[in-house]
Amino acid sequence: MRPKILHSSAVKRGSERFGWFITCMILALSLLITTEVLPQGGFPAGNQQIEHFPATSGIDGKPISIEARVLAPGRAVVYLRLYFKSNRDQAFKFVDMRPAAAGYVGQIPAGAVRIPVIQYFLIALLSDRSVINYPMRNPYGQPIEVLIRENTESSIETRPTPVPQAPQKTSTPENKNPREVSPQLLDKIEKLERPVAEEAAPASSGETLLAPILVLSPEPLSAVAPSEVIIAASFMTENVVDSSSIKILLDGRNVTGKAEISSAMVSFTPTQIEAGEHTVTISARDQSGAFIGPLDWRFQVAGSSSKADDEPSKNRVSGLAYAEMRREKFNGVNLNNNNIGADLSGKTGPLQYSASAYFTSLEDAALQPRNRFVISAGFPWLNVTLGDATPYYDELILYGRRVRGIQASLYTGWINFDVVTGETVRQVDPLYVTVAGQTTRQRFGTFKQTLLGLRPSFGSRNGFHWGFTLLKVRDDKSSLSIQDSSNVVQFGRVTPRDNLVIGTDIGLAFDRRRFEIKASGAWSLLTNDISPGALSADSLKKISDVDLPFNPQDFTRWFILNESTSPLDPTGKTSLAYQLTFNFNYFNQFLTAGYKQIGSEYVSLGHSFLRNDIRGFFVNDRWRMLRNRVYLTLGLESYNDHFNTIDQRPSTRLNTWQFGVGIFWDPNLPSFNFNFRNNNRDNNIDTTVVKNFSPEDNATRDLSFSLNYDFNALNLDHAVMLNLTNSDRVDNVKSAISGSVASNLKSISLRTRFQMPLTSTLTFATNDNDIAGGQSLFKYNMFSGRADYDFSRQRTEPAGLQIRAYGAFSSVSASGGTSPTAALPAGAITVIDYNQTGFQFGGALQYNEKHEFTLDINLLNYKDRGGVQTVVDGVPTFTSMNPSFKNSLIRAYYAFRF
Amino acid sequence: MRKLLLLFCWFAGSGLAFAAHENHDAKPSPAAPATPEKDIALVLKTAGQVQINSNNGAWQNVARGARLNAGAEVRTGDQALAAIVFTDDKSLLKVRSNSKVVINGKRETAASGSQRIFKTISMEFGELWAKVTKGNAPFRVETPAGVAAVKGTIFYSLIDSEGKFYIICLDGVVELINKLGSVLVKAGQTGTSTPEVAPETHPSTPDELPNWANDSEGNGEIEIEFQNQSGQKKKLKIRYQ
Repeated sequence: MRPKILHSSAVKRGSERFGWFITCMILALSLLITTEVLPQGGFPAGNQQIEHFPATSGIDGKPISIEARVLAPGRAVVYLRLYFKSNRDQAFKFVDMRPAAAGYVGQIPAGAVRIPVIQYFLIALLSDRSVINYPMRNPYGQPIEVLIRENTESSIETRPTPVPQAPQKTSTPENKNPREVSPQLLDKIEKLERPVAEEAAPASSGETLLAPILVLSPEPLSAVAPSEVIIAASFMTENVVDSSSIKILLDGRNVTGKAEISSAMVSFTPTQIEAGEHTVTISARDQSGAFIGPLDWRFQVAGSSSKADDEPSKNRVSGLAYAEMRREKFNGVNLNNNNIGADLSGKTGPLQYSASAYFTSLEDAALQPRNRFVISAGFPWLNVTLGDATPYYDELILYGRRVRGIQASLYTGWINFDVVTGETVRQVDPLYVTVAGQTTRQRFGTFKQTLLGLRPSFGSRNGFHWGFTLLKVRDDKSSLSIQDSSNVVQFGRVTPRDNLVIGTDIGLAFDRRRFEIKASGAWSLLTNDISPGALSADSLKKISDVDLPFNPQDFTRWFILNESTSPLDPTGKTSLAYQLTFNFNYFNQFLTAGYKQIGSEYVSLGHSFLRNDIRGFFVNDRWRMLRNRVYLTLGLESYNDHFNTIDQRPSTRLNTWQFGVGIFWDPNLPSFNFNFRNNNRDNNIDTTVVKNFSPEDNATRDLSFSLNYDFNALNLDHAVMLNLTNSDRVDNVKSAISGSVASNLKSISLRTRFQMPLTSTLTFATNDNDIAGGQSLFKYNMFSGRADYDFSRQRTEPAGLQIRAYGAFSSVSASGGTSPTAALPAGAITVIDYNQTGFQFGGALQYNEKHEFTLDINLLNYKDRGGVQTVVDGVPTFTSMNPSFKNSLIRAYYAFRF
Repeated sequence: MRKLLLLFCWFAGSGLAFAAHENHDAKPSPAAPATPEKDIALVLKTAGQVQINSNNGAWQNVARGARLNAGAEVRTGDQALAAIVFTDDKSLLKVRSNSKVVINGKRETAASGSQRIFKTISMEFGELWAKVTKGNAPFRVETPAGVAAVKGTIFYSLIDSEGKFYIICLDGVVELINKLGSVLVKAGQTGTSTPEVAPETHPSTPDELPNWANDSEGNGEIEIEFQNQSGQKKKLKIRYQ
């Protein structure tokens, strides 16, 4: 919730009227939006999606918490990942979100949250290996953008100059000792006293005294001795504060139950507080229900822990352990899974350590590991990690690949060294099926794969740095034996591979990285089948005419060269990759530019998603205007896909330009975001000349508009989010089947906080798609409503006990169809028509901030009337493709914090 | 019948008018003792023996975090200190050793709509230091020898053994008032007040300027020499910690 500030009367009236207008518009839009629409294709097991309320803003250097729910009836969630990157990065990093009471929770780390913007999206892998993402369309190309503001002393903003009111008569104050000061003297004093000026006086902390919450202690950004820490703030609002609504958080922990609270003030004296920086957050509501704050500020505690403790604490451990149980019945079939996990972090003297574990019953020896565990310990200059690590060494070489083994980092600021070694892929046996005496391999096996990464570097990324990276990835060819007998039918082969990549990167940064230039280059060697072993130098010369000054068979520990090696001739530079980037952050501009070329044969198994055979440049500028109220984005990319035309296939020109405007005029006014993106793909193929390749010439225009607004109407606080997205792909190639696709996505969500501790969320979404110039139409319509009730805000239950309950309803309908296509028998029409109705209810119980128990019950009814309609011998026949089903899910979650 | 009706109307009207008059002039029934304003100040720090007495109850030791209602008496022992902050504008008050003050406050709504507390510190004896936020609620220090009305300033205040009231102003302006007159004490000046003489000011001498409010950890002793109009000098020894 963004900070709420008090209005002057005029602004408040205007805001209320705008709020009424928005309320009416929402109701009208809801009626308009609730029309036909369908998602792309029907889903046999009902609708699956990620529910998420996007973050809208963040503060530089502070982590951003992300929460989401995954709706996937009949499927378990293998993982839900949060991908993020700042303007400085070219590639996304990710963190795995962990199960929590409200679904899943994850955090964009503080180090990644940098001005001016951060982008993120969510991807969930389900147990049937399907993938769902948020945003639903093109998450990688059009992720969610979060505006990052500068880190100021206090999050509160001064309120506008108040409208002067008639001065009120001051009454004579109480006088405990009337004998000492006579009434006549008092009267004389009152006449002599000058009227006090009513202008606001700036307090030492930078906040104004007209702020609704006044920090009494400690002063923001001050340093305090541990024995003198007292956290206190007073409320300065016109309306009386509802003391039951006051909340105080210390470093994110709710300490309201330990604080002393009145309608005038809240204070908390910690008995134990460690040295270092701490953050306090205070929020409340007045008796009319209006929000006050939140206000947060930071302070430092000097020295060791509080002297109030008899035994000073040297060891500090915190964390949580959780367990989740899911009992699901999908159309009469039980789909159960259980998960347990724990996170722990602590400090013993200068040594810091952390551990994390996640174990799931979905773990399957026939699949890659779904369990996770990692233990990390070290000092600021040395760190060792055991278990599942995700190293980020170089964007061209090793970036975001999970390694189960050991990782160590030595950092001195002058000479640094990183090493990682372990298993990236585990061995999985192939699956064979024998039917009627005939054995068929249904699924390929997987070789065990190990990785070694080494990176010595010099300097620091905040100044000058120069690093070298070596990556060695090899499949263990003895870990998998492929049956190759004559009575086995198998299609294709899987072969053990070997990959060697070496590279260097250099960077220069000035003025806290406001000016930055980076360059990196790498060369790769990939052998696609190491099972025959390495060839000698003479054999290679016969094959490739390459004269090597050494015998490759002497270096099989590092690389294996044979006929399947790519490239055999390194002089062709086809496996060379390099990139140059430049950042400039001055004069309210954040300008990034770069050029990259990734060779057609460049492959790094340490970065699975790096595209090769591409080169081009990009320029992107984000311009802050009008005191960070308006943001303008301009971007241009021009790439040549498949620039190596040795195979005679023409390259494809990819040109993209984009324009965006973001308006964040005032926290009490709506914020707007508009983006336009145009992407052209053209391979310049004239089919009358080039016969063997398909022409490609299309343009995709994406328009998106979003509005976010927190407002008050009907004496209630609302938060509305409106999203309109239009994507239109125009295929300029004339063919029997047009490649044009048009999609319109509209969604609106309204979250309302009532005066009682009740919050409601209503969501409408509609998506309609036109594929192949009207040959297929899909329409989707979704409505959901949810109500959350917080019993703890009534303060009727025992201290330390918090109880919340919720109920939710959802309805999804889809319709559409396709005309006859070549893939279907002549005259066949696919009909999509299904409805899905769901009910959810549950609750959460939290005791003493240590114990949390959540129970969720989901009931789903899915009716599918879709299928394929054909005409057989003149008789129309309808074949149902997807059966109707009922689904029930009971989820229990328990977490213990320590 | 008509006369009876007129008579009735006359009596009813008189009765109504009398009732209205009574309501207008009626003195309020003795009200229950006014509930003192709550949470007008907060104890930020204590050193040594610091006690409070709320509502004529018993004296109780007080620690940091204690809340003060209007009318709270605060007294400090040898080598003690109490630092107090007011909740409306963060005005600071430090009460030194061997002092006794009464903290009073009345909440009111300023023209700007903000809440402020009309503060009065009644000092029986001892020493105090105050930093009053400018431009906010009135702040007074009352003693038998005079009253200091503060506008937004930093000053020391003390009462010597003879009951003479001193204001040593470091910043801003303090108006020193007694029944015989008033005087503005500006930054760098010392004001004095006794019941028999109108308040006076003179430039503060270096010896007069205490600094104990900035040194809360050390121990020491300072002497302040005062000179009245007749040239008579007196020294006041102040021990601080």
